[in-house]
Amino acid sequence: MDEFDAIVVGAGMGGNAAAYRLAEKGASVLLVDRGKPIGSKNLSGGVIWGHELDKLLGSDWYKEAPVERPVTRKGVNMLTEDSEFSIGFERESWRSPPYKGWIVLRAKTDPWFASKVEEAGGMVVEGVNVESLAWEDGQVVGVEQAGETIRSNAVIIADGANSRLSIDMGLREDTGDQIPPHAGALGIKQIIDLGEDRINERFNIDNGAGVAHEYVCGWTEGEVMAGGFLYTNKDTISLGIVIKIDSLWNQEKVSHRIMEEFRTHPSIAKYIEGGKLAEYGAHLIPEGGLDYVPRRYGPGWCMVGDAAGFCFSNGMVIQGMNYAVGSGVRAAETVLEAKQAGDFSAKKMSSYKRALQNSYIWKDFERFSDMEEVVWNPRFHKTYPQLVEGIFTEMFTQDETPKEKTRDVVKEQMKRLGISPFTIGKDAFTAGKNL
Amino acid sequence: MSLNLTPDEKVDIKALLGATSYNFDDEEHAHITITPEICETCPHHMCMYACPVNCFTLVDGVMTFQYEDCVECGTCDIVCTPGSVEWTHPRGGFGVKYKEG
Ligand SMILES: Cc1cc2nc3c(=O)[nH]c(=O)nc-3n(C[C@H](O)[C@H](O)[C@H](O)COP(=O)(O)OP(=O)(O)OC[C@H]3O[C@@H](n4cnc5c(N)ncnc54)[C@H](O)[C@@H]3O)c2cc1C
Ligand code: SF4
Ligand code: SF4
Repeated sequence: MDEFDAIVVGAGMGGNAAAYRLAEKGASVLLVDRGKPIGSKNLSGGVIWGHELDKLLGSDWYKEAPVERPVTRKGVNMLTEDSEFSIGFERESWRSPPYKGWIVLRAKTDPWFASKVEEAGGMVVEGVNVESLAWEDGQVVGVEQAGETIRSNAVIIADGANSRLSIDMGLREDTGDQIPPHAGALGIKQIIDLGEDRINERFNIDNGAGVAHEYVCGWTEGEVMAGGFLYTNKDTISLGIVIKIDSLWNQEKVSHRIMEEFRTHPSIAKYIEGGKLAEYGAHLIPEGGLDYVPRRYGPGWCMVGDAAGFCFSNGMVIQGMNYAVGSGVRAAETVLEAKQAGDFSAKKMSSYKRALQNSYIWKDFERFSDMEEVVWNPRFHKTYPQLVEGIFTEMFTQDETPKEKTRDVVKEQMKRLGISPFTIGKDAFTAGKNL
Repeated sequence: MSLNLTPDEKVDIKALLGATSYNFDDEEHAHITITPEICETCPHHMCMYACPVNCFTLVDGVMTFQYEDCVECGTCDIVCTPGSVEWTHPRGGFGVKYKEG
């Protein structure tokens, strides 16, 4: 007899969600994480958008969970070297349930989430790095750790962006040993301790409100493409940058320098002045979409979250946590069905893929592939911020020459930057269609 | 307004990392290693530009690596197309230890 119905590798958002659903439905489950304590390897922006956690844990989950602030104001900002163009959106109803998004710190939420798995009857082990899967006759039968096999009917692989188990299984053969540079972004993040009062004052909010700003980093030299973010925690700021890895090629630009340029940019410096650095970290963001992961299920296994490529970032928004929870729950339900049927074959496990395809998750990722072309594009990251800067500078300059019509200013600036109205129209159309 | 960081101002990554906690493993269990002979013919040295914490440095033309400051992001493995970087996770419980995340 197998020791467990399921072993879940990785106690991030995806693994915790999967293990919780399994334990809650009475399956015997072992959740293993390499971090000690759980959460100590995990770094996110991090706003949890969407409602997968409401569905899994009940809509009151945030009352008990270590969350920071709800997002009540969202800002999108284009920065050039010395200008900022911002669009802000604020909604009073975002202050109360159902919340749009919760700002969280993962080293705090993940151990809490794992404790919920334990409460539901799951077994949780921390500080153990699973080395590989255990196979028998082409079927996954558990995991291997320090020469020992721990057996289970199914394994849910939730080991995140740097999924070593995927490599171990040969799922990355086409792309070398890791994900290809074009499918990855590097996230660098600083936690800046400011204190609750200063945060409330500078962002003009109270304790029941929070701000999520995204930035297009139009000042970066050469071909480097990066997006920034600033989120308000209870008494700290999460400040970070997301750099498209292949855009660093041949640029002689060091990644952490871009982070520092962002931190010291006048539009950011004004918020964090007087703050103290409380943590510096970095983490990979997979963003190859549906393409670079060849399989997400097989005999005795399913793959969820970042490991399965369910993360999206475009320099304006990063979304992975909700998809990790959503895919984790669907994998758990597949395992529960398989347990019921006593059949863990690839055919049975394929209902995981169907569940994903029938959900918004798959559809979102199909849509994102169009979107990628627009947003990870030099026009979006360089030309448009400069265009906006040029237009507004012209319009607000009083220099005693007759004012041109706005239309002429726009035309002239487009000519200066060598961009045609057709291209802008096309980009606006694709962006509009997908937003 | 202009960038507060002047072009010749150095980023002191060691000072920034003072805020980050680790549980260091001993050198024989370093989770990443490089093969300097492969680096000798590397066309791009992208590890140096990509690593967010300066684990890679050229010392007298020879690529050197220190594992202690590594925050386990995986980027060096992705950019090292010549295949010098051997990358894995630290042993369970060792390595970077985020308190905020
Ligand atoms: C800078 C940055 C900002 C982001 N901002 C946002 C945001 O605002 N909103 C959002 O929704 N998403 C955001 N994301 C993406 C989001 O963080 C991820 O999509 C999400 O964390 C994925 O969850 P996961 O459970 O799949 O993986 P992870 O959370 O990475 O969890 C993987 C777990 O597996 C464990 N593990 C790995 N290998 C092993 C092994 N061999 N044995 C045992 N355990 C193992 C790890 O310790 C870890 O706990 C951001 C990401 C970054 C880097
Ligand atoms: S990218 Fe790889 S081969 Fe090139 S210098 Fe760095 S470690 Fe060596
Ligand atoms: S994993 Fe990341 S932090 Fe560690 S050495 Fe490689 S690039 Fe640097």
